[in-house]
Amino acid sequence: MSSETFLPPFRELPRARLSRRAQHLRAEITRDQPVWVGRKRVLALAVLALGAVLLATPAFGLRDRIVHLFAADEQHPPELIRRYFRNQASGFGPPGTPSGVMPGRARVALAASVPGYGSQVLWVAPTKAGGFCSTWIGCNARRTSRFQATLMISGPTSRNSQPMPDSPNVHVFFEGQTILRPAASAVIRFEDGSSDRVRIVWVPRPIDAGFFLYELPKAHWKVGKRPVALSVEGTKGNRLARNSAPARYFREAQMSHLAPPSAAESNTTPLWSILAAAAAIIAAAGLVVWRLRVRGSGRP
Amino acid sequence: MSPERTREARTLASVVLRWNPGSAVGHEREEMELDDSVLWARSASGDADAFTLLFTRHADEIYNYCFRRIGEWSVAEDALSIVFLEAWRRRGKELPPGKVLPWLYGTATNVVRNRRRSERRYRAALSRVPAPPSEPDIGEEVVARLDDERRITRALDLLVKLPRDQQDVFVLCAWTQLSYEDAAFALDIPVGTVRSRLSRARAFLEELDPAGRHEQGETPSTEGALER
Repeated sequence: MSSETFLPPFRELPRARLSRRAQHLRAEITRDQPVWVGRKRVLALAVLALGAVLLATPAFGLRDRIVHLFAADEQHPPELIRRYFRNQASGFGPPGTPSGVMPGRARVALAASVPGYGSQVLWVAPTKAGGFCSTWIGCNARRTSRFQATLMISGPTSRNSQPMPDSPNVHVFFEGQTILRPAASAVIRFEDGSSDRVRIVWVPRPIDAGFFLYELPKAHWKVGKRPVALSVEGTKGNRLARNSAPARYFREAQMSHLAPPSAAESNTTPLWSILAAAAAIIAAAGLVVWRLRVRGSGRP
Repeated sequence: MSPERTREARTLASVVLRWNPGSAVGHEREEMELDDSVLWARSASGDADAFTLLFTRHADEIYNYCFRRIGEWSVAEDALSIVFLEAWRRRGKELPPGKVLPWLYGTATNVVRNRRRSERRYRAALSRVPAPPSEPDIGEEVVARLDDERRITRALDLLVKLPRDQQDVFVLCAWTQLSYEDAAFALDIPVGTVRSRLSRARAFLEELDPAGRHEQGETPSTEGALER
């Protein structure tokens, strides 16, 4: 074995190099001071922006149970969605008029998670005429419709694809889209005079339109409490447009038993109440008659 | 510190004095004797001159430590810059009196351990290091440094057989002569852990190298570490 030591001696950094490194360090730390601050500021702004997006995107219509999130621009539509858009009509002109939609540019505008139902995803695609098509409402290919809304009833279906109204898992939705720029919320008015409000999620250019989704609570399926009309309002509560068609569709659907029954359900409780009251009256009358007969027979 | 280093420090101290308008010229001696903790506190408040003085004061220790962990003088020089840039970035950290150098060793340990990440983070800064001036080619110095690298490579070959946490403790205590308390502070571990890791490392290395060369150096003080 060699007697050579393993560890090399302690050596100083040559003076010229030390001086150069010291100057470099000083230049860097004085140069980097504002950069560090800048980076922190950028980070803080990014966090604020993210927070703002998260606060702005939820739609409050489903009693805060829905979360809407914009999807990334890089998301490419699957073939099923492309095919859906290719087959969409224009929404104007004779049936079959091509919409001019660009399926390859379809994007997820919002995704809603509905408890007890699942997720509701809205795909939108721009058209060549400056409009758009969506998987909820259809096409507004030339931006001719200011406010469109529709009804969707979903839930377990029978073999012929009809909803099963008696099922407790049936969900009723109102879906809408508007091109009215100041639209901030959609308002649903009911037969009893009350109203409910849902935030409109605005999708930027090239779509440049607002969308909303509202689940109609079961309390408003009953006669006397059903929806009357939908409207879109600006930030100051000024009404911009009104549409009563979806509310009418709902009432028609109830009459045709596609939607959950209203009359039957609403009558059920009073009928039981009447029967119970009648039974109580009969029992009381029987008790009185029995007491009179006992007294008449001379017993104490 | 060598006389040249003292002159360097004096120059920088005078810069510190000029930078602080409240300081009187007659206080230069006081400035010269500023403790590391004072310099660190000034650095924390953004005093670049105080930090540069701290760099000049401890550059050689960190430079040699980095070399003993990396095995190349040129890379160790870059690592030295990274250690101090990282220290500047974390200058808000409160350090107990007398613990600036141990903390710098701890920072150097992390820099060496995460060398690629550190180099990536400070790549732009390192690219701005001015080109070396035309230095006189001292053949003996070059040969000596090459010999250093050959020797440290053999030592590192032995060292890497230890678990990483034992490597850190061994290099700090046995090769760098840091006290157990300072090594514990540098690595942010209890003193007892330092003792046990060092003991295990020594036992392991004794088996591999019974001659004990893994702790030998040319500085006499190295023996102190062996006796602890």
